[in-house]
Amino acid sequence: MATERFWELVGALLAFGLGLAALILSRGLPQMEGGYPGPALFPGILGVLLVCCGLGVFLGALLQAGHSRGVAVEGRKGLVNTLGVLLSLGLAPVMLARLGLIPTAVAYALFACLLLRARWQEVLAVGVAMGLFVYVVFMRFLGVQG
Amino acid sequence: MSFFSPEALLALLLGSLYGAVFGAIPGLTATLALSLAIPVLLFLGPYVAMAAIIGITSTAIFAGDIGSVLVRIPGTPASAAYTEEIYDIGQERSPAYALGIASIPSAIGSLIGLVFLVLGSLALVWLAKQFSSFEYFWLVLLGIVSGIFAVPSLLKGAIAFGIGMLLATIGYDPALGHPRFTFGQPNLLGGIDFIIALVAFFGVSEVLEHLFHGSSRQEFRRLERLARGSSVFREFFVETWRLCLREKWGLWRSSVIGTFVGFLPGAGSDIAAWICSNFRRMRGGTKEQITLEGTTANNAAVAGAWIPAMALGIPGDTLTAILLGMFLAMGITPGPELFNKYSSLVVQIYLAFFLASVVIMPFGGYLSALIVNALLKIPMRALMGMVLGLCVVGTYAVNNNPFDLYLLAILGALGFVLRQGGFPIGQVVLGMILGPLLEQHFMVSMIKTHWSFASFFERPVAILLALANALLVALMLGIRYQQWRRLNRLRMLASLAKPEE
Amino acid sequence: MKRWFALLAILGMALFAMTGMAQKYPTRPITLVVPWSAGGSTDLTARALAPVLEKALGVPIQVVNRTGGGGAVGHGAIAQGRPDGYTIGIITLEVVLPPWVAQTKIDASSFAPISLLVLNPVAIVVRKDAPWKTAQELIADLKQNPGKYKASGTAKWGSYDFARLGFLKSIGLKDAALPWVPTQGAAAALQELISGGINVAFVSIGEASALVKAGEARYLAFMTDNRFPAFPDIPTLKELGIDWTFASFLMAAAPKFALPSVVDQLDKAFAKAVQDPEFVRFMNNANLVINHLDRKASLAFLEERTKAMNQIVQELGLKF
Repeated sequence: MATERFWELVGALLAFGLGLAALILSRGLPQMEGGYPGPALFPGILGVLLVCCGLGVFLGALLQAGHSRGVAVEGRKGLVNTLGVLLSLGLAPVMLARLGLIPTAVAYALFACLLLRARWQEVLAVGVAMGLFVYVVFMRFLGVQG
Repeated sequence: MSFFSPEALLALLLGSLYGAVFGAIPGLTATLALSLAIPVLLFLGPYVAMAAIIGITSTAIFAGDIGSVLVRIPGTPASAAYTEEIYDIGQERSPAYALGIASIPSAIGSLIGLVFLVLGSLALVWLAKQFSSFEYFWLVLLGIVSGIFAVPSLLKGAIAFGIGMLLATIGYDPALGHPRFTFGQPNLLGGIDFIIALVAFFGVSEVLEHLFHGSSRQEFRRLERLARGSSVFREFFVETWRLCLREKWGLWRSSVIGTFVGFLPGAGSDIAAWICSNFRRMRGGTKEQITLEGTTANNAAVAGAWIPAMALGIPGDTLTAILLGMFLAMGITPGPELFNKYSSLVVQIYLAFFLASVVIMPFGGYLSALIVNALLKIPMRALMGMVLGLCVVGTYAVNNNPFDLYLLAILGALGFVLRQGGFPIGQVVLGMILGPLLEQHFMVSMIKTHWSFASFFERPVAILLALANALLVALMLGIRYQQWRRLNRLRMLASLAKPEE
Repeated sequence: MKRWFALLAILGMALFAMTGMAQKYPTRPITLVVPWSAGGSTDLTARALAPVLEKALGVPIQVVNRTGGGGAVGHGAIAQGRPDGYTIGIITLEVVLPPWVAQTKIDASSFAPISLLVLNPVAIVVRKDAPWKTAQELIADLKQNPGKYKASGTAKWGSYDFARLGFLKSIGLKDAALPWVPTQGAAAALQELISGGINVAFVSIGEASALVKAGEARYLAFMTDNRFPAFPDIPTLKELGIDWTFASFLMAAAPKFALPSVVDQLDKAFAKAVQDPEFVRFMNNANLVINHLDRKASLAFLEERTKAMNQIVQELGLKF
C-alpha cells in the first residue's frame, strides 16, 4: 500500500508540474484578432485543471500516507531494471540504423527476458520467435525497411 | 462490390484467434492486443484492418472468461465481475459447461448489441447530418464528463483526462495554425502520433510494470483434463441453450444495459459487466445467472461502444478510441462521411460483427480454450520480452521515424508512473482523442460567432445536449454522494470500476 | 600493329563499359518516400504507382511512409536524401505554402522536381439553398457585405485557406471579407456547410462531388484553367475574369542535387506509368485527377506557385 501512495505522490507532482509548464509555456503564444485568447486558451484551462487536481491528489495522498507512517519504495532492483529498459530505449534509433530491424527487436526482447530472470531455454526460444516474427510479418509482409 | 474479400475473412479469423489468446491469458489485455496490432493493421487498408479489429475486440472480451474458467484469474478486466462464479461452475459441473456459459450468452449479447449498433448508428448518423460545431462541442463534453465520472477517484480521472488532452495540444493549434509546445522540433509539428502513444501506454508501461514488480514466478495451475469426449457437446451447447432459454429475460436486460453502458463514452465492457452481475448478485441470483448476465453485458457493450464511434466520431470506450485513432491515420472521418463515402465498409463492419458473434464465439469458444490451455505454459517473462520487442519494431514501422522511439520511451515512462499511482491510462488515451475535438469545436464555434457564448444555447439540439450535460453531472454527483454516505457501497464501487482498460 | 589494335580494342571496351555503367542507372531498389500516412491520397497514389514504375524501370520500388510533423519529417527525408536517384519521394502543396515553409525551413528549392502527377483543383461550394446562383452574385454580395459570411475547408493556413486568400486577393478584397473558420479537413468543413455553420466551402472538386450529386450542395465555380470534364456546366474563375487557379498537387521529386540525367530517366518512367490503364482506373475511383507535367514544366510550375503564394502574403499583409 505504501508504494502505491508513493507513486500517487509522484503522479500528482507530475500532473502539477505538467500543468504549471503548460501555463508558463502557453504565455508566449499569439492572441486572436481583437485580443481574444487563441492557441493559449485550451492549454491554459488544462494547466489550471492539472495544477488544482494534482495538488488535490497530492494532499490527499500525503494525509493518508501520514496515517500509514511514511512512504517507501519497494524493490530497488525493480526500479533499476525499469530505468535500465527506459534508458536502453534511447539507444534504439542508433541500433536500428546500425544493426537493422531484426537484431534490434531481438535485442530488446532478450534484454527484457533476461531482466525478468527467464531461463536460458526461454531466452533462446524468445529470440528465435522474435526474429522469425519480425522477418515474416514486418519485413516480408509489410515491407518495412531496416 | 463484394463486401467480404477473402483477405478480410482471413483477417477476421486470425484477429479472432489472436484476440482470444490475448484475452484469455491473464495479464495480457484487449487494449494491449489491439495496440500491438495497430502498427501492422495500418498498412493493410481499412477493409482488412476493420475485420481484424472486430475479430480482436469481440473475441478478446469473451475470451477473458476462459482465463477465469481455467485458472481463476480473469483474462481481461471485463471478466473480473464474475470470475469466482464461473470458476466454481467449471469445478462443480464441468469446464465445458462453464465455457458454454461463457460463449453462447456472449454471442447472444453481442448479437443483440449488433442490432442496436445497426439501428443506433444509422439513426444517429441521420441526426448528425444537422450537427454543427455547437452540438459536437456538447457531445464531446458529454464524453469527457462521463469518462471522468467512470473513474472511482474523480481527481485522478480528471488528471488522466487532463494529461491526455495536454499531450494532444502539441503541434499546430486548431485556431491559428500556430505550433504549440514543439520546442523548435519539426518532428513535433504534427503532434504526438496517437498510435505511438498507444504502444507506449499499453505496451511499454506494461513491460515496465512487470520489470518493476519482478517477474511473477507464479505458474498457472492449469486444468489437465479439459476435453471429455462426447459429453462436451452436450454440456457446451445443449445445456447452455437450455439455460439461455430459461433466462431469456436476463439475457435481454443485460444486453440492453450492456449496450447502453458501452454507448456511454468512457464506460466500457468492464463496467457493464459489473453493473449487470452485481444487480443479479444483490437479488440473490444463482452462479449461473450472475455469470450469464455479466458475460452477456460485457459483449453487448463492445458493440454498443461502436455506435457513437461510427456515427459521431466519439469513442465509447478505450478500444473504440484506438479504432478512431486508426480511422484518422487512414484519413477516414467517422460520422456522416464514413456512411456516405465508405458505405461498403460500414456494411462490412456490421457483417464482421455478425460473423464474430454467430460463428466464431460459439464454435471457436471451445477450440480457443484448448489452445489457450496449452499456451498458458508460456511464462509471462517470455511474453513480456516479446511485447517489448514488438513495441520497438511496431513504433518504428508506423512512421519509419527514429524520433518516435524517443517518444516511446518518454511516454512509456509517463504511463508507468501513472499506472503505479492508480491513474487510469484508458482515460489518458480517451483524452488524447476527445481533447482536440473539444478544442476544435469550441474554437470554431467562437470564431463563427465572434465569441458569443450564447451561441452554444441557441440551436434546439444544442440546448438539449447542454441539458444532458448538466443532468449527467447532477446525476453522477448525486450517486457519488450517496455512495460516499454508505461506506460499504463505496467499497463495492471502488472495485466496480477498476481503472485501466 | 597488332598490339595497337589490341590496345585500342581494350580501351574501347573499357570506355564502352564505363559509359555503360554510368548510363545504367537503376541497378538496385528505389525508395519512394511518402510524407503522409498510410491510406491517405498521397500514399494511395504512391502505392498504385509503385508496381507500374517497377515495370518501367526494372527495379523494385519500395514505398516508405515517413510521416509526422505535419509532413515536415517526410519532406525533410526527401530533401536530405542522397541525391543518387535511389531516394525519391512525392511532395505536396505544402512546399509552396509560406506558413509551412516558415515553420519547417523546407521549401520548393530543396527539391529537384521529377514529374507533376496529380492536380486536384479546388471548387467554390455552397449549400443548395444558398442565396447565390452564380459566382458573380457571391462576389457582389461579398463586396457589399464584407465579413458577413464565413468560409472553411481545412485548418488555418492549410491548402484551401490559400485557395480562399488568392480568390479574395484576385477580386480585390482582404482576408477579413470572408473570414476563415478552421476545421479538421474537407469532410468537417462540408459538414459545417450542410448544417449551416458556414456559408462557403473551399474544397477539391472530388471531395464535394458526393454532396453535389446528392443535391445537398452546389458548385459555383472551379479554380481551373479549363472547364472540368466531369462537370462541364460549371464555369471557371478565369472565364469570369478572375485570374486565379488553385489545386492541391502531388509531385514526384528527388533531392536537390540529383543528376539531371537520372531525373530525366525517372521523369520518363513516371510519364509512362501515369498512362497505365490499371493506374488510370484506380485514380478515377479514388477521385484523383492525373495531370502529368515533365520535369522542366514541373519546375516552372513550382516556381510559379511559390511566387503566387508569396504574392498573396505580401498583398494581403498576412502574419503567421
